[in-house]
Amino acid sequence: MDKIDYLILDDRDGQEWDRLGECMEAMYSSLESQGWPFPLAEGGAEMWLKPVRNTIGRFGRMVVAKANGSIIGFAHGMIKFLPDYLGGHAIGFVTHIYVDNNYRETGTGRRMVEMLEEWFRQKKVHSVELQVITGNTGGIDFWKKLGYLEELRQYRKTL
Amino acid sequence: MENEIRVCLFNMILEKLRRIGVSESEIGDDFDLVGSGLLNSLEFVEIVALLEKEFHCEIDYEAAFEKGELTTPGGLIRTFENHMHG
Repeated sequence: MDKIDYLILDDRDGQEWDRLGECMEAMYSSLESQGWPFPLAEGGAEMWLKPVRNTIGRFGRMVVAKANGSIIGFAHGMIKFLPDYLGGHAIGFVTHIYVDNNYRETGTGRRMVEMLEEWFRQKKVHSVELQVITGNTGGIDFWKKLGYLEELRQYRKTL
Repeated sequence: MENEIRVCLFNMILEKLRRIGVSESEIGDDFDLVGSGLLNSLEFVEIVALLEKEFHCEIDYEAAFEKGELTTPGGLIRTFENHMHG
């Protein structure tokens, strides 16, 4: 098996940030096939990466997994805040996680989540939350194995 | 100082306001930037991070959230002003 290295990006890792755009596009192609109704807009990866990069360290953490010099996975977590009427708690939010198909079932996803959870603990968040597309049965199993519990369902209707 | 923070904040959200057809005058000091849906969570923390870089400080955002005032323009401006005045 290829050796996998894990990096925590800061805003100086220009080359790695540039490569994340391709991973985002691959991820959203996969999401579409699982039923996600909103494809990535043209330039969407760059639109998302800009604020992510501006908040890294302070309000966000980006972990990348690399094998043979290429990025084969990434996971992004950020701090978000509940509204005042729900206590205003700081919540850890896993916004995106992606592992190249060739590296699934290698423990890569688990390791990246552990690195996000380490950071969330340092930030003393109330809890960690994330969303999974209903059709992503592999993703649902993944999070359950990591101890996450389902608590919400989202519905949509096109008028 | 209040005016500098205000100008900086509104410059950051101006393009978004224009895109959704909202004028600056409709955004009062009590307008909830996140609760209204104008900004999502990532956009909001980006604004806080950019204000911190602009004014060379790091606010106690947990305390500010506990006071329930960080997500309005007035609250953001007060939080930064109070922090910078020590």
